[in-house]
Amino acid sequence: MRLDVGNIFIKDVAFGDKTEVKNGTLFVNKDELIEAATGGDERIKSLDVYLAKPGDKTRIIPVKDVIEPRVKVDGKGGIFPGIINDVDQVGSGTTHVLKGAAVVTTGKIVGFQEGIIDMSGVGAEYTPFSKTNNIVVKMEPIDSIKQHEHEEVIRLVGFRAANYLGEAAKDVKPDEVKTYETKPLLDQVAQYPDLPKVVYVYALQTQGLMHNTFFYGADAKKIVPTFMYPTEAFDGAIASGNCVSACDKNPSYVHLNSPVIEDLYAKHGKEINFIGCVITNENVTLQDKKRSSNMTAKLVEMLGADAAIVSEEGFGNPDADLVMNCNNLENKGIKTVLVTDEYAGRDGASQSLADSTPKGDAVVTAGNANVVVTLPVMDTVIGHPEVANTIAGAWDGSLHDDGSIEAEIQVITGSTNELGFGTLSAKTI
Amino acid sequence: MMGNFHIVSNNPMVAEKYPDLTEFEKDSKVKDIFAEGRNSIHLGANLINHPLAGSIKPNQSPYKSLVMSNEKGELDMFSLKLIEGALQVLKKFPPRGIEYDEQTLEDFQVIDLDLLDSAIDSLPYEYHE
Repeated sequence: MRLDVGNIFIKDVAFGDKTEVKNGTLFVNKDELIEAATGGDERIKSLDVYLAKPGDKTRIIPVKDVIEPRVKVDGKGGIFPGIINDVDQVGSGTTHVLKGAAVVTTGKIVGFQEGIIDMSGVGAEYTPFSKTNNIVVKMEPIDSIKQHEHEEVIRLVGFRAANYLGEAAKDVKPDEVKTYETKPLLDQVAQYPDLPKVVYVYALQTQGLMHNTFFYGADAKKIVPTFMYPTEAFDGAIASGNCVSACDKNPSYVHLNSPVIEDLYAKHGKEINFIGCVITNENVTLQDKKRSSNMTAKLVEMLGADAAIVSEEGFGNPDADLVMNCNNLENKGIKTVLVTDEYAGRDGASQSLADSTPKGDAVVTAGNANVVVTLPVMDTVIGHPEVANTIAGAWDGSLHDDGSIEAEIQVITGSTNELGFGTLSAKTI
Repeated sequence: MMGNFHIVSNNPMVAEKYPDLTEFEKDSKVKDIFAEGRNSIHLGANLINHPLAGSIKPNQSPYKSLVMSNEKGELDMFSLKLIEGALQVLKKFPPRGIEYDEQTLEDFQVIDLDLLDSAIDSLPYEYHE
């Protein structure tokens, strides 16, 4: 399966009469975007759109999802298959990307909240989405709506908004084209017979309301682990329904740009033979965890892998899946590297995960979510600033009278992203 | 609904939905629910759901529901390891000192119930009589 990804570099975003890309600026017809994002959903009371650019003294709070505008220009299907496009097989042909633009959804779903994106100041250094030109969609539902529906409504609003904007990329010549290809297994193995065969085990948060992820529209808690061509992720095969723990959930934007897949492709044919992905879940019951981790190891073994990369999403419950996947893979003689983040206390001295294993001897960390920062006052706040006190990673008094916020970096969207989409790194001192 | 499992919970929404299955500990804290679960495990019960959520931290939500087997056997080390791990996590996170309003409390109850429902939905036949 081969996918050409054509990146159109977006350096600025502005409202305009027509939604189009001109000389690196994405112009957005606001009324059309609102209509497209609403999609006739009668559960929506109001929907408005704002722009937030890198360097602006702007805070977006609470952030639900971040989505990159993409469009299929050649090949089967559309972006986010099974959700807002037909459930066709994606991952081949050509996809155009408005690289540098992002749809950010904001709105209250529950009384406790998550997700801050600061476009400047110290907070901006912790989130990759301070560097994107953000089209912020703020949605309020009708009064009678319950939590489950509210989550669904705002999730779909984001995908429809990104889908609408992505169309503007259809007839634009890309600034760069990257080609990714993974062949059917036997051909792929034969292509680089001397390189170690690596599989990526892609674990998805799947435990219930606001802890859900979708694979081709299917609720991933109800699937058993399965194979995926890596390029399928770039076309939106995986979509986020996660709404809590801003620092280490995977927004849909990150799935579309999965950095583990990007990096494995960068080494593909040089240092390794990247033969494919196994999608697995992180469920509630221990029986489900055993089934999925056993099956994951079996599938990786069937592919004939020498090594596996396993990524986690979330903290606590999924630490068990991470450890079980590690043990099962290592017990089959498959060298395993884990990617996670840490809750090691404010001083970094506590045990980082809720579970551990001696076989986890190769671990990449995306940072310590308990580190405390003070986010300065901003000129503009998009969303609901009052939720800062109840946001995950904050405490009573986090929101100061002047509008500054003292909180753990887990409040910041993407700060310790467990696919490594963040900017944190360690240095020796 | 009958089954050979029971629920230990301080979530009123769980007690309302599963009145015959729930040991409702109305004024308990999350640490009390974990301690109750650990005691049952030492008496031979198996833990059926993971004691932690994947996103909401145990110092954030005031509600917790554990699914335990009724059948008791040898001490299950896997269950014990997970409940002890959960207790350690709880100790590690500082109290947040937040007084939640009624709507926020209801939201936490809904999420706890939803994660519990997804556990009960996926229980194998042997747990549903």
